[in-house]
Amino acid sequence: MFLLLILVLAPALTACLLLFFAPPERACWRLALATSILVAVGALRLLAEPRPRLLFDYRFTPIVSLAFVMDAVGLLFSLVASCLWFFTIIYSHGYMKHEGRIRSYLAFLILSLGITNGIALAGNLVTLFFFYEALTLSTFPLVIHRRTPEAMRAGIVYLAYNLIGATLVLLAIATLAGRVHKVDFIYGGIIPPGLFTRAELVRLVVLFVAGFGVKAAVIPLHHWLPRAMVAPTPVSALLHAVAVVNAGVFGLLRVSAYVLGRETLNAFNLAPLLRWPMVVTIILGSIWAFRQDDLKRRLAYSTISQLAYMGLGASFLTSGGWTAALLHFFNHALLKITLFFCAGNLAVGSGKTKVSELLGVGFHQPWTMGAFAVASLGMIGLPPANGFLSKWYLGLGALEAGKPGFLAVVLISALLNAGYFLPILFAAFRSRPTSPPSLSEPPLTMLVPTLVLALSCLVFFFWPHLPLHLSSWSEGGA
Amino acid sequence: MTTHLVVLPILVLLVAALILPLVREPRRASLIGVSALAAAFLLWLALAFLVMRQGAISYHLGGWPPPVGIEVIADKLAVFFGLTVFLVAIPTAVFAGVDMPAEAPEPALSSFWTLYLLLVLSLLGLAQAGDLFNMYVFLEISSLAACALVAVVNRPANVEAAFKYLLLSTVGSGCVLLAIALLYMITGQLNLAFLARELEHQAPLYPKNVIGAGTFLLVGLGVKAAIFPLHTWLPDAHASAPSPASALLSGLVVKVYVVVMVRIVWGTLGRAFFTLLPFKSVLLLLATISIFLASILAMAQTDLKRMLAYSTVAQMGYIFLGLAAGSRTAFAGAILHIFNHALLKGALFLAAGAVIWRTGRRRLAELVGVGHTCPLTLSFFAIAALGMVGIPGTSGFVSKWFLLVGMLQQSSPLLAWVVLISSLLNAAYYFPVIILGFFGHGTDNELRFHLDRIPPELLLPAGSLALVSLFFGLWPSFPLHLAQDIAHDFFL
Amino acid sequence: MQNLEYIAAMLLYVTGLGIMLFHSNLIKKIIGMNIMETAVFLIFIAAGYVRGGQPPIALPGEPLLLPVNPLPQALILTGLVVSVSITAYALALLREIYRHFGTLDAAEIARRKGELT
Repeated sequence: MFLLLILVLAPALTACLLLFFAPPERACWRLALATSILVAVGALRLLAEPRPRLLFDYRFTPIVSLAFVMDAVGLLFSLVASCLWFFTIIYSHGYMKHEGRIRSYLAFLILSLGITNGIALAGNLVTLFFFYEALTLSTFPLVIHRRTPEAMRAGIVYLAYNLIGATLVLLAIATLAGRVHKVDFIYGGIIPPGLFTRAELVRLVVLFVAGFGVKAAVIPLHHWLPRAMVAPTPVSALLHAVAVVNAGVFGLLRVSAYVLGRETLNAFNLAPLLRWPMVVTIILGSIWAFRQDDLKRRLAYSTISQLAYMGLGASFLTSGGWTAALLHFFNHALLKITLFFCAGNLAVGSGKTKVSELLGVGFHQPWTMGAFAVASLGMIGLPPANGFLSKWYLGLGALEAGKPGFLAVVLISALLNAGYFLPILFAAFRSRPTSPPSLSEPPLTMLVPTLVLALSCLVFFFWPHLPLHLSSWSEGGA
Repeated sequence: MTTHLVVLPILVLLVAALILPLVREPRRASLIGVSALAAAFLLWLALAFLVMRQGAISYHLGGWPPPVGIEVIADKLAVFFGLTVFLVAIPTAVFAGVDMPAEAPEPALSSFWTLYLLLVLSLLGLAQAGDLFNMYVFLEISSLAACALVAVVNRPANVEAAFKYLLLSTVGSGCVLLAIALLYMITGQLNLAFLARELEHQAPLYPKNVIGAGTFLLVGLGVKAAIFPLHTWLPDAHASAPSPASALLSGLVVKVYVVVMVRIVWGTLGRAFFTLLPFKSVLLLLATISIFLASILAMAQTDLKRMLAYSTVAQMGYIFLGLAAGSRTAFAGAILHIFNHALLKGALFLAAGAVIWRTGRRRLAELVGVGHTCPLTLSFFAIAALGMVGIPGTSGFVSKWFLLVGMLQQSSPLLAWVVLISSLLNAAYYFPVIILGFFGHGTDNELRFHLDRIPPELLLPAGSLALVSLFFGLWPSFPLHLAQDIAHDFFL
Repeated sequence: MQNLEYIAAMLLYVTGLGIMLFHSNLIKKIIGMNIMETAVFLIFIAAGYVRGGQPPIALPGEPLLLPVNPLPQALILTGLVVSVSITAYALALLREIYRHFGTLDAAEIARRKGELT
């Protein structure tokens, strides 16, 4: 209970402090850093608690309550978010030297941490929805932070897409509440057999997939994500590669396993409704990534494509697929945030934002490009990066589900990933300059997090016990 | 003393309203006004406790028993609406103490307070009326007081709006009187309980009278409650009225006629009436058109208060939609929305009024960046606007949730879509105000929160209404249970 | 011819409504409103009429044979007072409208109001 206060409320309080009492800038940084350390420690502490556990429950009506639980899936999300937020704050310290309005930036950044934890620890659909909508509102000021006309337009698109998505989710939740009279998360689903006809279930699944799919950037609901790249890079890194989009995927995972349940999905053959949009997203996302010259946009389309792996894994309705989904949830966050940090390093260190400009930049920023190389390996799915493991389990899940055809999807997308990541590396390390190159790496506050995170990608290849344990706990009925 | 409690609040307000024309000094007038409201509120709270404990209380004026005498009922619906009235009217009165001297010339101020108290007491009287005669009298008082409040400020727009309001409102009252006549003709009763009993026998014999009465009630109360297509007076009247009057008009006055309709149509005319006339279907259709048309028109507005006025028309559509949807949950949601919207719209109009008082600007284009001059006020506006859109955690979400669940239980997904799409439309015109206010162009420096240099009498009412609505969004059990009890009593 | 009063009342009502809708002069609209209200009053009172009835006043010593229903009369007296006060207020508003707009024609006022904003 106390940990709940730390994880969800402390960030909110800090944000209010920053917004209303306007402390000087150095104090703002210290407050934000302290809060993020507190939250990260709290999340790690949660690992030691017995699971699953109901942390808090407040009933509005017999159906609707504000409830927080701590189970394996939620813990995974909370850990990912809390720890990565800490790195982002450090990174921001270096990056945001060039930007203004630090105080409101930090306030909304910290607030979003609390809200993300709220989503992670939500014990029922209504609580999840409450924090889900709140996340849209609290990340909006971050997206429009630069206040340029393009940023404002991106913000409006962001808001419009996400509100529409939330509306669809609300409709689905209200339908469930009215018919099932329960909206809690229980592994295996809460739908009694025989209550809904297949048509009604199809409608429900479509609403959930479309609603959560907006945040999870499922094609064709993905338009907001590339446009949101006008935000400062730490925002893009954290929110749009780790927190916001992961919230959407988290919603899909919760719905598929804890609300609808494997049995219902199997019995009515509803999994294709989830599977095919994911396949389309994987393929198209990768293809469109090719066409992007702006580095952050290319990474955005890569995110779109990679997120769909998680949905695909869940849609196989097997143990292997579920493990793949959770594993990639964890791995992709690490990989993508590393990549975005590298993009930020390139922008600050060498002023380069486009792929076409990256010729030879590897010699001026070897550390950054080294990290980029590691993370790219993970994205493609090659050892010794952790991405290999998630692709392995994904393939395993496909075989377990008796659909070997999807192996081809996994392989094709791996090839496509290679196609748009490897050329960057080759270009960066081509054309060795004649004289010893000058190092133009960004300040340490930006470089160290990048390297640590890249290292962690390697570490979690050799010791993947943490995410694997959590995913097996979740299947044990947690 | 206990049973006299039923009429004491109205009496206190009436006495104060009659004294006020004699008081010339504005500050003393506002003091008397606010204290009379406070006293009446305390009495009403006592009444509410009694009613919650022992059920509906019936009071016979002058000791004459019905059907000869006039009956005043204090049941849950009356108590619920009365609490809403006081929760909105008292902060608005505090607000008016400082805002009105800026908006109206001094001679008009004591008339303002008289009209204010008359309006509040007529709302209470309408909620409590157990007799059609009583209801008609208070109906007329509320119309006249509302019109006069619009015209307290003697500007061209106000006078024209007040005239239109008066004319249409009187037509509405005439229709209601005609409906009363039609019902009286066949039953010989004006007391609601006795009327219901007689109608059970007479309605099958004279169906046309009942149908006629129902239609005229719909038209008459519909004009006053601003259902499409009878809503045309509302944007002008609510937009041009002084801000405290707008808050009362949008927040309370349009809704009291819904309470009247529930009492007469659902409470008295009863189930047989719904079989004679497709009342609910017509109401559903008009409500849906109301919602969409008003939301779209609101998006096109350039004046802040006019936009809020069109939003009121749309939200009244929600209430009618919930009443006619045919589900008890949706009915409860509609009743709850009466309470929630009153608080939210009151907060919005008061916050808007504070901004206008401080900056003199009411056009949306001029309000860009106003978050730097009035951050606190705009925050209150933002909280209330989030409530209107129905963001979870606000009171607006709770009523919307019940509307949705109720409609989906009845397998009317179409109505559920209406509610949801219109919430998105709500966001489309409320969010730009907030976004441009806080994050608008040319605001490159940091937003600092300060006390706005707006006097607390203007800031606190808006803030308290916004925060109270937030409170009831997170802990809605009290108004929710009341609304559910009322739905249990009245739903058909 | 039993229902002459009702027919007359409905004719009055429709006439009043027509005047309100189709005349653009504001004073005529007020007149139309008054005619509509009168029609409603007529219906109500006619409903309370007893054929061959006496005024409902009981004097001591005289038995009241066939009184007309007094309740509608009481209600309509109230209604008349309301109608008068509303007409008075409407005319006062009208005077202010004339002072602001210089005309009593509804269409012209709408046009001038559009110019003001």
